[in-house]
Amino acid sequence: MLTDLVTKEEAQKMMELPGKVRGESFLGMINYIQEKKGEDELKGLSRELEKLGHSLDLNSIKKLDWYPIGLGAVYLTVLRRVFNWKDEDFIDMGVSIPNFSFITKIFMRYLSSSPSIFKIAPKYWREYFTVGEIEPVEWNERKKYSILRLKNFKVHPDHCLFLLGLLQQMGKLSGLKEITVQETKCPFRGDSYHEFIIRW
Amino acid sequence: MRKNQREPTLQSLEEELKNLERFIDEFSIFLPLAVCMITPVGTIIYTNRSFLKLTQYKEIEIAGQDINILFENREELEKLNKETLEKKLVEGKEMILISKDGKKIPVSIYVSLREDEKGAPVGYFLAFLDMTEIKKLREELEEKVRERTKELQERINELEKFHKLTVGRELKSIELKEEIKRLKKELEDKEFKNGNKKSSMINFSE
Repeated sequence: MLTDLVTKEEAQKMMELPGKVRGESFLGMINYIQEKKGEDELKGLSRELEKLGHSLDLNSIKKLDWYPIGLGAVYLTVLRRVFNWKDEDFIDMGVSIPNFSFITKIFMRYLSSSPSIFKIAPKYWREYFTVGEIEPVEWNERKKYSILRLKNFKVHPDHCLFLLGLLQQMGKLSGLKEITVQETKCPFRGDSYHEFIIRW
Repeated sequence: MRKNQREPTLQSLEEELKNLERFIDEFSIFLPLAVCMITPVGTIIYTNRSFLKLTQYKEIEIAGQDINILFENREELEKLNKETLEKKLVEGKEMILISKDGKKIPVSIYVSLREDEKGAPVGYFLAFLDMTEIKKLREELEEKVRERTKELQERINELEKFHKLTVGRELKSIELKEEIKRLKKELEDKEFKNGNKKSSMINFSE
C-alpha cells in the first residue's frame, strides 16, 4: 500500500534536508497520535516508517537529543498520504506540542506576558531547530495582532500547518484569548519566507 | 592568554540540560503527591503522574486547559489566587476538586508563586493532597463519637429513670411507714379511750 503513496527515494530525499530538530518534537507527535488517533494508527505509522527504512522506537527517542529534520517531513508525509490526515489534524497536533514540551516549561518565565514571548520567539525557535530564523516583525497591541517571519526554513507544507497550531497554543499559554493564526506568506507558495499573522 | 578550561562548552551545557530533564522526569514519576504548574493566566502547563491519577485526565486532555475546570467553586479559586499573589505561598487550603468523571474530591492545596528576576509572577506551582481517606476516617470517627454519645445518653436516661423509681419507692416506703405509725397511734388512742370508758362504766356499776 505504502509503496504507491510514499517511496523510499522520496523519503531519502526528505532525509537529506539540512537541519535538526529536538526529539521532544517527535515524542509530542507520537504522544498525540497515541492519544488522539489510537494505538492502531501509531502501530501503523511505525510499520510504514520501517518499510521506508526508519524506525519509530518510542523508548529510544530522547526529548533533548537532536534528530534529522527530514525525519519529521517523512512522518508528516506518511500521516497525510497513508492515514489521510486533514489540515485540521496537523494544526491540532501543533497545538498539543507545547503542552508536552520540556523546553516550553523552561521558557515559561517568558510566558508571563504575550509581548515577552513574542520577543523571545527567536531564542525559543533555536532551542527547537538548528535551521531557520524567527523574526518578530510587529506587535500591535491596539489592533490586536502580531507578525512573525520565519526565514530559511523549507521542510514540508504540512509543517506550516503544524506551526499554525504551535503558534496558536503559544499565544494561548501567554494569555491571549480567541487566537487565530494565518500564514500569509509561504516558500511553498513561491514566497521567500513564511509569514504568520497572529490575531486575538 | 590560555583559555579558561573550566568554561562550559555548548556540548557540556547540553549534557547538563539533558541530565536535568532526566532528573525532573524521574522525580516527577516518583512523586506520590499530585503536582501541576500553571502560567500566570491559569493555563496548565505541567502535570505529574500522581496529578493525572488523581484527576483521571490524560496529559493530552488537561495540558493547555484552564485550571478553572478542576474546581467547583471558582470564587474560592479566585480568592486563592489573590492570597497567593499577596503571600507568595499558601498552605493547606481545603477545596473541592472535580475529576474528569465528575467525582468531587476533597483536597488540601498548597500553592507557591513563581517569580522572575524582577519579581514579576511567571506562574504557580500547585500541590494537591487527597483528603478523601482522611475525611472518611474523620467522618467515621465523628460517627462513632455520635453513636457513643447516644449510647451514653440512653444509659443516663435509664439511670435517671431507675433513680426516679428507686427514690420514689423509698419515698413511698417512708410514706407508708409514716402511715403505719399514724394508724398505730390512732389505734392506741382508740384503745386508750375505750379503756377509760370501760373503767368508768365499772365505777358506775359499783
